[in-house]
Amino acid sequence: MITVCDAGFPFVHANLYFRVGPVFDPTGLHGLTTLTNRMLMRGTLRRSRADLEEAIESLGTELYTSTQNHAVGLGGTVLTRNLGPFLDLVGEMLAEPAFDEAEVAKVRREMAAELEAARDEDSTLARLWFRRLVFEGHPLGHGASGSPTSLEAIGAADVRAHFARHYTRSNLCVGASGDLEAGRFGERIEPTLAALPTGPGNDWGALPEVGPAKGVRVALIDKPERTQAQIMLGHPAPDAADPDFLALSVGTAAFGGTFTARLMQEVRVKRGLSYGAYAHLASARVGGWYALSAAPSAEDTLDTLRLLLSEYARFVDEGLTDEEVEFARGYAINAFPFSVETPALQVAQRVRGALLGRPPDFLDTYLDRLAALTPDAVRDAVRRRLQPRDLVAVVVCTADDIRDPAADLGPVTIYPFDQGE
Amino acid sequence: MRRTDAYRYNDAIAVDRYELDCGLVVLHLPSTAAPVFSYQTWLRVGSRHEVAGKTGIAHLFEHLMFKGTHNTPEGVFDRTLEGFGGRVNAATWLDWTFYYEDLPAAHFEEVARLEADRLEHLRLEPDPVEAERKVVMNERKERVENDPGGKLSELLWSTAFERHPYGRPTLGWMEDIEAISIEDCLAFYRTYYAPNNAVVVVTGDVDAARLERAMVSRYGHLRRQAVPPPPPIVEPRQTAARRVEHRLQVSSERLLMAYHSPAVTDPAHAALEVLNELLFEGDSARLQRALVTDGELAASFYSFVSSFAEPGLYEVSVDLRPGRCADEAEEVVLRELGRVLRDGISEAELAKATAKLETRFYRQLQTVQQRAQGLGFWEVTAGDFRRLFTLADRYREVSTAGVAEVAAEVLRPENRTVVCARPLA
Repeated sequence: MITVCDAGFPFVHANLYFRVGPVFDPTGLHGLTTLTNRMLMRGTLRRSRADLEEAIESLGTELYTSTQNHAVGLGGTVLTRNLGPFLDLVGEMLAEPAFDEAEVAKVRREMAAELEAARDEDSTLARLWFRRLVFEGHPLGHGASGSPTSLEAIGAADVRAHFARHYTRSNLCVGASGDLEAGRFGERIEPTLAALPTGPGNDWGALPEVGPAKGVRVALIDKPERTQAQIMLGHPAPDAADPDFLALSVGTAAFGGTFTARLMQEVRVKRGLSYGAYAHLASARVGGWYALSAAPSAEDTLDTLRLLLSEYARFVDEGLTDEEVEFARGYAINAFPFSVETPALQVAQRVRGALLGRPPDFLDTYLDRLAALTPDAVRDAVRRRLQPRDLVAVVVCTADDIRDPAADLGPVTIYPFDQGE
Repeated sequence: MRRTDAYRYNDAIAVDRYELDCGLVVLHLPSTAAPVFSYQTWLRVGSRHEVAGKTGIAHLFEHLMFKGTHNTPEGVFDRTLEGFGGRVNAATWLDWTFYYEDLPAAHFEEVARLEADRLEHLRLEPDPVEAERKVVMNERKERVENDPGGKLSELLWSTAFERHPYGRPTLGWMEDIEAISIEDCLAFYRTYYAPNNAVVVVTGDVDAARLERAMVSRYGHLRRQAVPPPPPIVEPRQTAARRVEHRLQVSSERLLMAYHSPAVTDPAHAALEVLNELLFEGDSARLQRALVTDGELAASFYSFVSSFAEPGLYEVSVDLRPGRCADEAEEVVLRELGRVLRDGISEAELAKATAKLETRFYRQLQTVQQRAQGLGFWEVTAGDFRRLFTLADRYREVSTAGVAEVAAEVLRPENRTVVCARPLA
């Protein structure tokens, strides 16, 4: 339980997280983790879905569910005067979820419709295909939303079993901030959680190894009438608890993490090729990844792709200058106060560390570890862990525009944008 | 620098308003809760000030404000502030443009120096301007041309407004972006980037003495200048429903609806927000159930009550599920709106909606950036920063009769514009 009290405003943020993610979806039931979490909002043994929604929102709050790769969340912001009834309702949802078959079917159809709608957003499409291809053949390749086929296979019994197995105290992390004393949060939270079994914690180390990428593969996600492409290229990368993660984070910030970083300067400022150009190191409990992204005009797609690949290789092969590393390190140190500016942010940071499997003192030692980081250590981590010649380049575009010339970069595969999972 | 207003919200939040002789307004909300501050410069100019043929100039110019001055070469502004750990960006919309820098407390004076410098000494060179024009054209491709939601929203607004510049896109029409010249940009700068057309907002760990020293030394020598008011264009009252059918690359049909709606300063505005809350926001909202949870017509939807200086639009957008028809969604939305018009809303619904809006109000006052943005928005859009803090009171003052009244005025059939988008054959 991670809490920070602040009586400045009469409200409380309260969130429950369970350490389960889509990688724990059983084979053929992809999407089950997300669906199970959503089902908590779909009624209890005492209240219908509509009555539950009405009871929650009449307190002036909205309850949210979320699914991340490393955890599912359930929580909201509530006026202090309504904290007691709010926690009672959350307790009821955990103790007596209805998991009604008809509601499961409704949520299945909702998620299938959302999958379909995601194909209209090119950047979302790029992210979906990136995950699918970077982790091809691995459980990590399945997104949190499953597929129409896998969703169709999920029934209420699967939801009940998934809930019973993963919604345990061993998997639980509670984060709360705000007017906690006035709301008597400390004494009220325990009855809320009383029904949860202790249960076994999930073993994140038991997942199969991710196979390394080999060579540059180009995947054209073919969509008609694109006047612009969405590019996302990259490969699997170290997880958030990896000893190299901090050095890689600083290297990534220097290379493509800020507006004045090398990548943004080369792609946007010097050439105007894309509104944004970034490098990103995902913070993941398992299934970390590294990606470069940009969105050039259709006629600039190939030039931008080549530029991203060459800049990535230069970044890894030649390394950052001392000045670039020191700048990025200084940026991270100086910007740190914003990440803990409010009680809610302080709690969020500590919860995030706990869910990502980082050491308990991660936040407290963060600045010292940054201060001790040398340019050589950053360059060394970048050289050892990043792979500019072993990656997949996902390009959402009208494939005919670049199909032939892209073959110079590596084998090209064309995927219709409306097919696949 | 003379203090023109002092407002106390609670023990932790008090705001002072100052004016310099040059007309610059300064809003100050000090806090030592965290060793950071937000510095925002709001200009009372947005895309509504543009003229036909020059759409997009306010937004393009916002980009150009990062291109260097006669004292500060291109790149130095961003590099300096990032080196301090700063978060730096800007935004342009219909009524305003604002620039923000969030930084650790030690660097306040440097930010004031850099911001004042670019307000007075901006330098525009052909090559950086051309590169930035290309960036903005890419931004338009990303947000409009290749984004069905952006494209349809643009169509909706340009159909709903026949005369008022709110009907033109802030990003600008592509052919206008291509044609804007450096001379146009410099004229825009000289006209609108005047101290008496700006509001500087400082929130966070900066005390009054530091604030006054920096403001006086950096802006005190500037002179007032004549700033033209926005074009005096009044949108004629819509007298007949409008409808556009459109085909584009989407997986399923989409429905967009809009009604002309009150300005943010209109007393009816809060009532419309309350109505919107109970119709569209949250799992228990009437349309959430009718369109998604029970009706299973839509994959998703959103609604938007515009908060502009002049009357805007109340907008609803529905993304249908595969195989479902936009006409069905339109029927459902109109049925629910009709129910409000016929039966009104209950006291319980009113209490629920106002409690949710009150919670959201508190959430939006937490960080230095949120506070500065709220103050700047209300000062520039409504002429009174205090309205930020009285927002929750305005929600609480809404009655069921007030909601019925605004519904009757806004949700008139002849006040409606509809855009139906169907997939390409």
